[in-house]
Amino acid sequence: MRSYKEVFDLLHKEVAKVVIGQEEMIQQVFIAILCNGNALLEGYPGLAKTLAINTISEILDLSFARIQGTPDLMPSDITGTSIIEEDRGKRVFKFQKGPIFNNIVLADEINRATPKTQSALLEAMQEKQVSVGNQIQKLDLPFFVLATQNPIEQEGTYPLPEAQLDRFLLKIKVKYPNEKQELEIVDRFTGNARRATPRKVLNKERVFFLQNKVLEMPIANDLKQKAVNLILLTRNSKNLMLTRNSKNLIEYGASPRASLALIMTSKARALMMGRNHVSSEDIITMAYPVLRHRIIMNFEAERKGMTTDDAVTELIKKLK
Amino acid sequence: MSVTRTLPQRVRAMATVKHNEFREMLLELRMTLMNLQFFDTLLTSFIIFLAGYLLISLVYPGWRIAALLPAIAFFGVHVWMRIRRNMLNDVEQNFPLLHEKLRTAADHWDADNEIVRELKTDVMKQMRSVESAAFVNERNTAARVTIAVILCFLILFIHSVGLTGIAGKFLPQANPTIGMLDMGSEDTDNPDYLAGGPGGVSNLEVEGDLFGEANVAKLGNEELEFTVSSEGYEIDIRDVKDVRKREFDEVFPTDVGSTSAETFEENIPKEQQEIVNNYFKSLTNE
Repeated sequence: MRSYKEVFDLLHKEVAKVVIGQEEMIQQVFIAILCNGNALLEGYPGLAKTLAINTISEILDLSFARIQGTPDLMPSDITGTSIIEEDRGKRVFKFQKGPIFNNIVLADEINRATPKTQSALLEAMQEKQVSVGNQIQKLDLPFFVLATQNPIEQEGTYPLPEAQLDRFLLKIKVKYPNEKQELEIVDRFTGNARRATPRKVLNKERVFFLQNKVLEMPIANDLKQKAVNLILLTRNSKNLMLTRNSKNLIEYGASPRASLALIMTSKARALMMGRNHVSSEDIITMAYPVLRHRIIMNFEAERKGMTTDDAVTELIKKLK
Repeated sequence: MSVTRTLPQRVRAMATVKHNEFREMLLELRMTLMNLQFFDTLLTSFIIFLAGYLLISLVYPGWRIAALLPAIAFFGVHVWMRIRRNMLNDVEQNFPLLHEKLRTAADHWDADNEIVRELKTDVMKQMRSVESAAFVNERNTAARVTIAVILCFLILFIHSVGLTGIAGKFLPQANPTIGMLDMGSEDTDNPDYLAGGPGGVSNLEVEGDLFGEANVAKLGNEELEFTVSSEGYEIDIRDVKDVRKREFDEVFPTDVGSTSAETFEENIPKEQQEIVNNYFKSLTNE
């Protein structure tokens, strides 16, 4: 297991050559990739979301494409379209692949795209294929959608529907760098020092190999039960009440996809940590990005300023 | 024909050896833990039995067998709870290095892949430092053994000094009437009398002291001396002879005669007789 840890340490080291700080975000993006899942990154502008994802694709030697979400973005801009081409004097339709036919697709500011365009990503994210006209085009594997959204400037945006949110394995919060990191950013990007370029550490085959290793990671039955119990707690109407007679603060609980996601991501985290078993710490750590976008709080909770992370913290306390 | 194994075959064979080793280790561990817990439960059940026995002996000696009931109930419930509980958690609590590893490996004892194999090897390596003594709480066990010994001595003590049933005398309707036999006027040969029928032993109601008037039984500082003469009942078969036939010439045989007791022939003066008579009367009236 030490060799796996060395691989992930090397990955982090290579990313750190370009991105300063954001270790948690980078770790969770790797976890999403190991679980063959998609991730939604939420953070303020300028926090190196795009840079980090671009760097990760370089290190993993995977093809990368970026889609900027705008209200006039069309589904065909993502999936591709058939164009007329002349072939030996005959005009034929030829499918021109869109940016979705890459291994890592960064859907930047996804909430600015229209619901029609957003839903074009749905099939790709879930089925790893796209339907164009009457043709089904298989995507190149491995395939990951890493979408970003801005928690501010909500005007003119189209919040992602719950069904689409549930398809994201993780919702990763991107935080501000601390003072030391901020100084390092300033030094690195304002001086004339030569910027280091990350080297390729893995390739497609190795990514598949690591994805298989995640599936092999053993988890104790009682820990599995604990993970499932946590998901069930989100559905029980009496688990999150401020007072005895007050209304439950969770409007809708998490779906069974959350159970799958929690177990899988916990396994991936254990592998990244170089452990040969899943620990309860993995489950607790991964509960936040897994449940953050799967729990819907009611108006009362919003009024009290309670976030889904607060709800997860309370539920974990109840679980103990 | 020589059979040479390919590398994957050898790896698989090695894995099978490890797999079996791990299974045996788990089995041994479970057996050891079960034995320890069985002893622990048995010891506690024994203490419960002794405590119950002591209490019942003090209150209702006839129900001493009932002390078994709470002990058996405790034993059954405790064993059932222990069986339901994952015993491997106890090992993990005592050995933090094995935290979550042991139960994960145990849950995947039949799985065979690189990560699980490594986990099993890791667990087996760390299990070498696990000693069964680590699961015995010496102070606790010593304390319980001491309690059991003290209870045993208390039981012996109350039986030797005859304190059984003493607490029952202070309880209402707990005074047993067994042993109150007034043999004077009752027909003791009557089966109804002995079996507690009408007017029988168990229906007697005695007023005052069971053993009669205390002042009559008072002996003062005098001691009673009894001598029981030994009586030979052994028969020497060599001394047994045929019955001698005797003929009697007279109505009364010569060796049979009568003499009047000398005491009645004594001439005691009347005054002295009165003094003695008055003395005994005064003794009776005291």
